[in-house]
Amino acid sequence: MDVLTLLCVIPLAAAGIVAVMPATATKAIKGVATAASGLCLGIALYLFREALVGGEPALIALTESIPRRPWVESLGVSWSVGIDGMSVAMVLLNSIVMFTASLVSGHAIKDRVKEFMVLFLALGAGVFGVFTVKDMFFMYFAFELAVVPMYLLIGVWGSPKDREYAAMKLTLYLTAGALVALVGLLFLYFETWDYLRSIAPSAEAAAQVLPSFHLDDVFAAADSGFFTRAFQVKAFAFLFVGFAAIIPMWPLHTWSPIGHAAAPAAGSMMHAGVLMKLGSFAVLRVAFPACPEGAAYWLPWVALIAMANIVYGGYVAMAQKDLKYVIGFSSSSHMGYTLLGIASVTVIGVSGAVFLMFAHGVMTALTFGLIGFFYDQTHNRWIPDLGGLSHQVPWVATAFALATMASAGVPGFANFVSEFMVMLGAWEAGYHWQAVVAVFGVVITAVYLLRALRDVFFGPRNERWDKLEDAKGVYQKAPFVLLLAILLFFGFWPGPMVRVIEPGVTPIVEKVAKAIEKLERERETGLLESDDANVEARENEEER
Amino acid sequence: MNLTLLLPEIIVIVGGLAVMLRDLWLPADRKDGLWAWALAVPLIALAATFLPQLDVAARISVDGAMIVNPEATALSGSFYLDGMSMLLKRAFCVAAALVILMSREYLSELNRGQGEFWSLALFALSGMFFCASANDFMSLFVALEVVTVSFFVLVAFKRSSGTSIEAGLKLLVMGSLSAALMLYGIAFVYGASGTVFFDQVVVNGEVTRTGLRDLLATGQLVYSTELLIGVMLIFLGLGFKTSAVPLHVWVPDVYQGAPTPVTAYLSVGSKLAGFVLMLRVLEVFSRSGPMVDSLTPFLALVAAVTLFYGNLGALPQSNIKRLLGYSSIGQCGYILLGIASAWTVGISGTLFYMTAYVVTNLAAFAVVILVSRATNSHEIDDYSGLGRKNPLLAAALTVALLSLAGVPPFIGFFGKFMLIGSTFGSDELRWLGLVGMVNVVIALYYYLCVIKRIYMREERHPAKSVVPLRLKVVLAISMAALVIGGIAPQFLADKTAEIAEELQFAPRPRGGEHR
Repeated sequence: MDVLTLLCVIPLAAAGIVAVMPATATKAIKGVATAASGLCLGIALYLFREALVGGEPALIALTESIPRRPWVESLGVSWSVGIDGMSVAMVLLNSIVMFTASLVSGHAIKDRVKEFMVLFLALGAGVFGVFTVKDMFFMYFAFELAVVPMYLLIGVWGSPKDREYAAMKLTLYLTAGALVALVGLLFLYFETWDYLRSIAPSAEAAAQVLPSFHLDDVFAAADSGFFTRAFQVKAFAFLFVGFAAIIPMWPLHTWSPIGHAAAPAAGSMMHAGVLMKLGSFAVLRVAFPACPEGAAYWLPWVALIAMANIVYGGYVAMAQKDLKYVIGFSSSSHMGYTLLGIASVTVIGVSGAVFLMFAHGVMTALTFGLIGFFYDQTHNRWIPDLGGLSHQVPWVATAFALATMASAGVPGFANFVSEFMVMLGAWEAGYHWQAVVAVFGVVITAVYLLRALRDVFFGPRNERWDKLEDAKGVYQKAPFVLLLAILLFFGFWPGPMVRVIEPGVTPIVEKVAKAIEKLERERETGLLESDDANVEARENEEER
Repeated sequence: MNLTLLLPEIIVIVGGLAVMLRDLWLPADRKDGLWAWALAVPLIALAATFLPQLDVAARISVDGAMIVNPEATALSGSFYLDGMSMLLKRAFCVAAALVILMSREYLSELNRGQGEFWSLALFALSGMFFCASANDFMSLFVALEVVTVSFFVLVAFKRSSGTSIEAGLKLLVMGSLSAALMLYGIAFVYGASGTVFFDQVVVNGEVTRTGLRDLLATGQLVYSTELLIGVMLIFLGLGFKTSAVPLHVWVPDVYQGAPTPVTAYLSVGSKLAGFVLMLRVLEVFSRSGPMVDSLTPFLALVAAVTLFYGNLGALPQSNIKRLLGYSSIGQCGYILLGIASAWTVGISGTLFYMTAYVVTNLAAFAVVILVSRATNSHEIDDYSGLGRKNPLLAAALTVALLSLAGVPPFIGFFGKFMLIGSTFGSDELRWLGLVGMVNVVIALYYYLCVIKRIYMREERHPAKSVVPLRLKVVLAISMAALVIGGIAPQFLADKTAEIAEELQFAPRPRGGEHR
């Protein structure tokens, strides 16, 4: 079994083992879960090292050494995995978050530990699947595999007030988003089938050609120019809207803050840390290379909506009184930067976006881990009720302050570097005023985060919280220290991460950049007038 | 005449009679053991379907055209054994066996009529067998009525319960109406074509009887309005069995009123009998392009309305049997989606989903039987806290519901993926796929509402369910099938793809050939 398949198999196998263990052996169960996450982290570090030392050729060689394993041949479904620099960063992110979340839930989860760990591991396996598979069917499969455990994680172990509503909303939104994206995937599937038939040597051979869900075949069709612009515009719209609901992009973001808020600590960590990255990852992995001309057509709008995410998300976060909602809306605000970086279609901007996905994932896992830590004791997240907590939990307060700094884009943390890259990319791409708005978005972020920090941790001692216990011992502190260390490491030394990501996104960026050039050239020369999409649009207007 | 082909049917009918006779000889206090006799019948029939003598090529190539192999037919061409009928017969055997295992507990509450229950269940099974093999409109009708009439009695079996009697009456009235519609349709087809047989019969090189397949293939029978009306009426009549709109109104009431094991049997056996006949009729007429062109929009419309009706109707339900009733209407919509697409992948998906549906729905009903035995209630609210009370039952019901909702890694996911995916190949039916997707989200909501109660609410009813061995077997088999079928669907999917190819549906989506 290859190393990438192992990434998906280890958590699933661990889930299987936990499922047959007696429910009372909670220590052993937690041990199995942590060990499985640790193993995955080891594999992810190995992959990261490969990418760093061998560069992109090493990853390509690794991908090519893994054969396609036919699964349902008549439909062209195969189990096929592969990675590039971008997926390495995401795999690393998921394993870090999984590992720390399993440590955090080690002491936070006391009720129905067995069920929790089974679902948690299944969720992790699903996320690894999305980041590594090269087959569109399995991408969808893995995504759905990640969504339903999340429903139960939030619904059963979440905060009692709003968990049922939050869990349902999240699941329905994510499923609906995935289904809209599936429409796009099915468009690609059938169009690719036609392409495969068109390159068959004879009519008889063409009749025998099997369809394929494999991304390589889809990209081959896209590169050959088989997909017309009208088709790409249509397919990209479905793919993007579907994935955007997962990112989450304004105005499809409402499931996310409430989902964050209601989830248990480990659930929020996985949700904000990795689930929110699946959408933007899938846009880069599938939608961009398969429909570059569609991307070129739609991206200016994406850059515009990214502004809504940054500014609107920020303003909504300002108005929140519930600490988890503040962080929740701040997450959707941060996703605006990711969207802007993606929309810039420059190597630096897109790398920055991927780097930001990584940094934000680590940062937000840290934040939610810490909130979970004291929420489990206070059962209260209402900011006006809290206050002065630094007296009782100085260690947590310090860590939280550092996480806030990271989130607010203070230099020295990975978030600063990545957001800076995004803004550079946006400027380079000519999105000047968007870049300016994004810079001021950082100010908004600082306002609500520092205000939340002040109101929760500083100020006079509140005797109501005197019984709160601070993080004690290596076991409790380790996950937070690890996450902070990663943020600082890549903040001061972003080179390795950028070196890993950049070669992964470069070919994708080049494809779309070429399509943008083509589109602009045609707009200048007026050729676009004869384009199918425009003709159709005109006809539709005339009909009206 | 090739009677070997009828061996499974013979086994079931003889078995049904034997159980009935055995019942007469048994003293009243020993009748509990009769279930084992009843169980043996579908199992022996299942074994019989694997006999090499029954493995006859369904089609042969004559002058380059694939035609029905006379060796695979019996009863002067009225009985036809191909891959589809074989697959469905095996599915029916499994369904009957699982239902018999589930029924024993329920029956011990009745003080009389046990023997009749078992033999009626077996006679219904024989009807389903004949449905799977029907090769003319007369045997289609008779086979279907054998199933329906057995179910009239089974549904009303709990004579002390008013709802059970009412359910039986409803089924009777609606069933008669649908039978009338179907007969009317058959009359139209006969009027247009002059035959009710699907296949011609050739004796000594001379055609002694014409068949629809051949008439359509040679162009002697062409599209006409009468023919279309006839086929549509037949589909409406079959829609009664499959709970398709507009003859679906009986479903929630009958599902709720009937004894739960009978509901389970009805929801899989009777439904699949309708579907297999739909596939058979569609296959016969798929040789005429204009017929398919006019039938497809009709079926698509029925599928869309059925989907919305079932899934929206399920939303406000508070009774689990009614919920599963509406859900079964919704599931019928999905299967119709594949039938309407009428190309290999759609048909393959249809067969896959039909098979998957048997184990999934029976697993759900097995849990319903167990829970209601303890709580004496079918209210969904009484499932609150089941996750703590009976963790295994709760997990089984959750898995079954998630599979019905189409969530990986369970078997229902793959089936739904094929059904919805198949509609996207053709420009005309893409909207139907979108309707299917919208309904996936709606359905997910109400299935999750049940799961929500199981795991997220405090228990209302302290009584714990005791799971007897027989039901453990049912649950173990169905759970294994759900998970294995979800992780490794290729075994079943390859089989159904082969069958779809054998049925000679279009290898490409309609409207996709021009490219």
